[in-house]
Formats: sequence, structure tokens, C-alpha cells
Amino acid sequence: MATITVNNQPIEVDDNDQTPLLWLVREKLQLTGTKFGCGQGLCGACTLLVNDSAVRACITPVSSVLGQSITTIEGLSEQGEHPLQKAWLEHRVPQCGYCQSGQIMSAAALLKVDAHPNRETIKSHMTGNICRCGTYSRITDAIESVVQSDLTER
Amino acid sequence: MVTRRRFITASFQLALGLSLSAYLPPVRGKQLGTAPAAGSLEPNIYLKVLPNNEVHFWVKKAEMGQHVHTALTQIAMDELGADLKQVRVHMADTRSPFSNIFTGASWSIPGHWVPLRQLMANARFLLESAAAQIWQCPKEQCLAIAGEVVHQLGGQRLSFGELVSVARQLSAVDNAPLRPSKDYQYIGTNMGRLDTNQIVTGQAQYAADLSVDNMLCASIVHPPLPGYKLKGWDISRLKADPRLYKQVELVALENALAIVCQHQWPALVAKDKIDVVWESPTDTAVDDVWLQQQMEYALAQPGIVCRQQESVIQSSDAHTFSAEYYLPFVAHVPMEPPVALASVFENRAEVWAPTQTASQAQSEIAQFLNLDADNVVVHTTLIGGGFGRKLKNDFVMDAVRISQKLKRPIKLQWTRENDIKNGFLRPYGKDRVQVALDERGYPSNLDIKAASPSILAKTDHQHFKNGLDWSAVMGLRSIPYHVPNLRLSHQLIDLPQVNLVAWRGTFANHHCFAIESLMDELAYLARQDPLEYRLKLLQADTKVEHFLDSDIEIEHKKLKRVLTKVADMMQWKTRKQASQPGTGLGIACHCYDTHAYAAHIVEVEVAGQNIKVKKVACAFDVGVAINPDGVRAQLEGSIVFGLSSALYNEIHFENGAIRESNFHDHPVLRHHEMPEIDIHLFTDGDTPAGVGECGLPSVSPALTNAIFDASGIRVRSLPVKLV
Ligand code: FES
Ligand code: FES
Repeated sequence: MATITVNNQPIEVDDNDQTPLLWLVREKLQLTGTKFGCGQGLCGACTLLVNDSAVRACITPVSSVLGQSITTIEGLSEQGEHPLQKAWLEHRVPQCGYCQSGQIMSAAALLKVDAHPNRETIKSHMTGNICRCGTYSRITDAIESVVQSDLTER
Repeated sequence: MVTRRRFITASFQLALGLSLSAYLPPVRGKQLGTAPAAGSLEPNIYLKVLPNNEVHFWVKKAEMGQHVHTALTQIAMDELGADLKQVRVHMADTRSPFSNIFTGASWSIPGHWVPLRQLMANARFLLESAAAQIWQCPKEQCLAIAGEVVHQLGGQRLSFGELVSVARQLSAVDNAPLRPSKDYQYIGTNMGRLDTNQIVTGQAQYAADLSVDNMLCASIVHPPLPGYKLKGWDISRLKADPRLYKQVELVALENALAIVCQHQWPALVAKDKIDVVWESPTDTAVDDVWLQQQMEYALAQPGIVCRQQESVIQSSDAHTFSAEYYLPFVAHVPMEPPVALASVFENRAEVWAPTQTASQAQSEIAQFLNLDADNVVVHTTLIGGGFGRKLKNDFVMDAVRISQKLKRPIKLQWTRENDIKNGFLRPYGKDRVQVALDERGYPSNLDIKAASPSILAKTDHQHFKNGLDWSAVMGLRSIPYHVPNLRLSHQLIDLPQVNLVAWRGTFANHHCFAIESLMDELAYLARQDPLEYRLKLLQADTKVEHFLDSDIEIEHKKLKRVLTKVADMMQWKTRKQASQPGTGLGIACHCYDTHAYAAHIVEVEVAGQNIKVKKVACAFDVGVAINPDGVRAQLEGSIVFGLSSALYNEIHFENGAIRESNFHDHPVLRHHEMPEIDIHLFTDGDTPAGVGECGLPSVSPALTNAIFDASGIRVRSLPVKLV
């Protein structure tokens, strides 16, 4: 047995468990905010953070993240007060909503490595996350607004 | 163990003042909650006002990202005079009193506009009358506003809750006067989804997120095309993994093989380790070549005329022009692959699914299980994207069949591959156009023969009139341009080999692409500006009979207004004159059957085979915008959806199967390709138009017209391929 940390809680796992992280969080941990969209690492619906990096949970075996720290959309903030979540509300980003936890987690990973990305950087970073409803420009605007308010607060 | 922080939902609802109960998971051993009825005012089936001042509102339209729950709530609560903070919105399930739960055709808002306000005005009448009775004053002095009835002279107030017991005793009215639009508090204001908070915190629950006691998870293998029967299967590859093999159970259905397991993942892995043998219904190998032969054969038939007019003026027919415009088969690929949870019991069934047609699902299930419809409950869950795909309940029936065999609740998860390879498609279609031009370069004769398969069942007599498929000529019969001699016809292609369904605008896309490309081509031949050329031909309103509803009437002035507006937004005139090689602007417009007027201009850069869409502008006449920001969101989405289909989407058939399978070979527009967007809304009408589909058709021709402007290459067939 080995341990991984999910949203700050230690979880016991089998150390050669080949199950993708997606199904561990969705089924065993009942954290269903992380979505299944393609199962092939192509759409980003299943994006979560492994030690601050955006990872496609549908193609990441549990055994490859032993001892690491995982954050899902449910663990991004206590009550939805993460600046990105607030910006998503303000810009009324979601349409069907299915892609949005993945979008927010990808954006969160971006801001961890680059607190002040420009529009082009945002767009290219976010390109692994498909939104079939077409909320891309609002996503760019929402992320940009977080960047801007961080800059003005300095 | 990580616990779900459900209080998040509650606290956010408080912050926003609204709650949405529809999407709660099935509570074990309990039916989905309905508001307590004791002592409440229930003036119609959609509304309950409780003595504790809560207002419960039921909607029959599925929420799939079009913000329909928001807009219906705005309409209803404005008319009622409620405060949104006291309102709880519920998605209706198929139990009585609700029927005809159907979401599609961009008709939710136009269809509710008058009837819903009337129902709510009648309810408001009761509350205001109750106050009048209590205050012993004329009813005219009592006005419901923000959850209270206020005395217009004295300023006394009573909350809705306080009025319930008196209002209950009053007799209902059915034609109370509607509130004047100047008094609207909510209609016309920008609102997001009611459950945005749940979405951004990962708490919103879609069908895949639900579970019930004793439930098993399933995956499924489908035949390559409809009509195939399951013949057998080879599990040697599965047996090579004994641990996996032990966990799963196979369930043979007539036309599919299901794999069932305690958990979802093993079921999905096992599916790819089984080799299934199918029995083909025909010898015909459906492939692209065969399908194009069917198309050519159809175009050689006389077709059925859907509109014809002949003028006395005969043209000289000196110049002629002909062309063919083609749209391929495409898939919908909503982000949420089809999924359904079904519990079939001895004498009843309960289902949770992201279906656009819950009532249809209810009757299909009842018929299949041989149950009374009353014993079948279908709950519409949140829909993670529909676009027409989830009008079909094939995935729901899959889950029902498995559950029936195993006598246990089943959650069936389709994969992306299931969805693309075995789901329903939008049909292909071709418009063959022949034009005779007068000496100024305007069309004097226009003949369009369209051919396509139908999205309707042949038994759907309502939609077939005189052999003509009404849905297949949407956007064709209503061509708005003035042409003295006009002949429009359609030839149906019989294609039972392929599953077909509506797709955001369906055939309006085919015909708008043909007509708006044609206008551009003719303008070019006449050496005229494409905008001026169109404006010249928009001379009078177009009125054509509609098979089901009232006539379709296209007001040429409204179409001209969106065209000129979008041209202004992009500085069309000056920029067209100064245009550089390799850059281009293209324009197109469309009036959808729901009386929404759209015009788009697309700006592109073309270098060799590379196309960069730089900017898209849209002017849109929606009549009345219930939720202007929601309308904008739909138009933004339509631009993305339109560019995806124009640039990328095509389903190929080879050796009797669909070639594409997932996003690597069926790409959609991605974030880095997103152009700048500019949208203008006209909202000075008196009726809201439908929106979901209406901003889509003119996107593709505006793009290909821009490509022509930039490169001289005329694209007549989608998706765009520059060679
Ligand atoms: S579901 Fe993981 S990338 Fe699509
Ligand atoms: S909001 Fe529907 S897929 Fe992004």
C-alpha cells in the first residue's frame, strides 16, 4: 500500500494500481467535479492538479502519482472563493458547464507558474481544454481579469 | 476520506438568492423532492407559493447551457412580481401533471413568452385580490412587486406568504391583464446560470455523477451501423487479464453487448478487449463513394417543389451561372458523452438522463417494458451539451435494457468513441443551383434543387406534407432575396443505414451556406460589393406558409438592418477598399424560422493552406432579450460551433463504418484559434425570438466568403480544404 494526498487528505492506494486517477477521485472519493470527456487526454474535462501541474486524470494511473499531492476542483478553495472561481461567476463563463472544472484547474495551474500571463499565453496554455459550447473568449477574459486585479493590488 | 462540502451550495444560493433543486441526486429510498403542498397556493402546475413565502417554480425545459432555466424564471417571476431570492426552480420530471417535456427547435422562449406570462398574471391577480380583500380596497390599488403586494396609495405591504391563505379561497381567473413592459424588473437584465456556483465548485451534478443503491456501472459495444444484430463475441483477449475478467459480466442485447461491473473503469477497459461479431442487415457496404452515388442519383430525380413563383417578365437568359454547395455528415460531440442511469423494477422504472426528450423517453421505455407510462418516471438531469444529439434516447434505452436483464440499477457510460462512431449524425446535403442573370447581373431565374436524407421518421406524417419533408427545406423556402422566377425543390434520399438527427439548426445550415455563398458569387460576377448586392435584392418581405405553425414572415428591413449594422461594426466599406492580398472579409446573413435575424462578418488571413480567423462580428435582432448576456453567450457559442464545423467537422464512412472516433481525428475549434468577437443586439421588438440555433447558419458562409476575398479561392463544400 502507498499514500497519495487528495485535497489535503491522505488516501491509501494500492501501489501498482493502474486505474486512472479520474476514476479514483470520481468513484472511490465521490469527487465528481472532475469529468470524463474523451478518456484519451484529448479534451481536458478531467484536468486536476498533481503538485501544482495540470494533469489529465483520465490517462494518469494512480501508481504514477504515489506520494504526491492532488487537488481537484472541490479542493481548489474552501467555498468557491478562489479568484478564478469568482472571475468565472463575474464573467458568467459556463454554458453547459461540463468542461468548466477542467478549464478552471488548467487556469489555476497556469497562474501557479506565471502569475501574469498575457492574452496570447493564456490562449495557448488553455488550448488543451475543449469547450464545445464555445465559452473560450469568456475564459480568456476571466483569467485576464484575475491577472489584472493581481497587478493592481501590487 | 474526503467529504463533499455540500454547505457550499447552500451558502452560495444564499449569496445569489436563488436555488435550483432539480439536480439533486436521487435520494435513496425517496423520490425527488417536491415542495410541501399543505396550505400552499397552487394556481397552475408550474407554481406553488408557500405560507413561508417560498415560491416554487417548475420548468419543463432541459438546461443544457442555453440558460433556459434562467430566462424562464426571469419571465415568470417578473410577471408574478416575485423576488428572485424567494424562488426555488425545479426541473419537471415526467410524472403527472407534466407532459410533453421536450427541449429543442430554439422554441423554449418564444413558445413560453405569452402563455407563461398569462399563467403568472393570473396567479398575481389572486395575490393582489387577496390583499384588496384584506385591506378592503379596490384591487387596482394593489400591486405585486418584489415578493410583496404593496398598496399604491397607503404603502401598506403584505408578503406573498402572508397572502396565501386568503388567495387560496379566491376563484381563479384565466385572462388577467399582463404587466406592462415598463414595470419589468428581471426581463432585460443580464444573468448567468442559476447554478453557476455549483458548476465552478464542482458540485453541479450531471447524470454520470449520480448513484443509487445497488447500482452497477456499464459500458457498451455497439454495431458499426444501425440494423446490425449481435452474432457472437470472442473474449480471449479479456481472459488474458484474469483479474479484469473476474470483475466483469457481459450482457447480450439484441443489437449491442454490454459490459457490467461494480466500477466504471474496469467496464471501460474490458470493452476494448472483446471482439464482437455482427450480422449485417444488407450487402451494401456503406462508404463515402456509395453515399455520394446516392446523392447524385437523388439530384437526378425531379424532386418535390417547395416554392415556385413565376413572373411575367421573362429574362433574356443571356448569362447563366451554376454551382453546387455541399455540407457533410457531422457529429454533435457534446462534451458530456451520452450517459444514463436506469432502475427497472418488476412493475415500474425510474431513469435519470441528460435527455432533451424526457416524455418521449418515458413512452419508449413504457412500451419496451410493457408498463403503463404512469409507472415510468424520467428525470431530466443537467445536460452537458445537447445540440440536438440528446433528442434521441438510444443511450437511455441501452441502460433500460441492461437494467431489465440484470434487475439492478445500471449507470451506463458511453465513451467518446461510442458517441462518434455509433451515435446520431446530422445528414449530408447538397444544393444544386442554376441561375439566369439579367443584364445588370441580378438573378432573373433561380432554380435550387436540394437533396438530403431526412431527420424525421417516415411515420412522422405531421412533418411530411405532399411527400415533402418540411424540416429539410428550412431556410430554403424562405429565401429572402427578390428573384422574379423562382423554383425551389427537394429530393429525399432514403438512408436507413445511418442514424440521423437534428443538429443545431440542421438544414438551415445547408441552405444558408448555399444561398449566402451564391449571393457572394453573383455579386462578384456583377462586380458589385457583396453587401450592396444583397441590400439591392432585399426589396420586400417574404412570406411563406409554415406547415405547422403560423406563416414564416421575413421582414426585409430587419435583415437589411443587421447587415448594415454588422458592416458598420467592421468598417466594411473602407476596409474592403483598402484590403491587402491574403486578408479578407466575408459577409452573410440569415433569418431563422423563429424570426431571429443574424448577420455575420468574418475576417481572415489566408497564407497557403493556413487560415487564421482574426475576428467575427455579429449583429442579431432578437426582438426582446429576456437575458441579453445569455443571448450573447449563445451567439458566441454559435460562432465557435460554426467555425468548428466549417473548418474541421466531417464524418467519413469506410467499409460500412464510421472512420472518426475521438477528438484527435474529429477536431473542434480550440482556445488558441479563438478569434476576437464583437456582437450587437437589437432588442426593440415585442416578442423574443429563439436564439440557440439562429446565430449559427450564417457563420460558415461568412467564413468562406472571407476566404474568397483573401485568396480568390471559392469554397463550395465544407469543411474547408485549401489545396
Ligand atoms: S477526459 Fe481526460 S482529457 Fe478528455
Ligand atoms: S460549457 Fe459546455 S463544454 Fe464548456
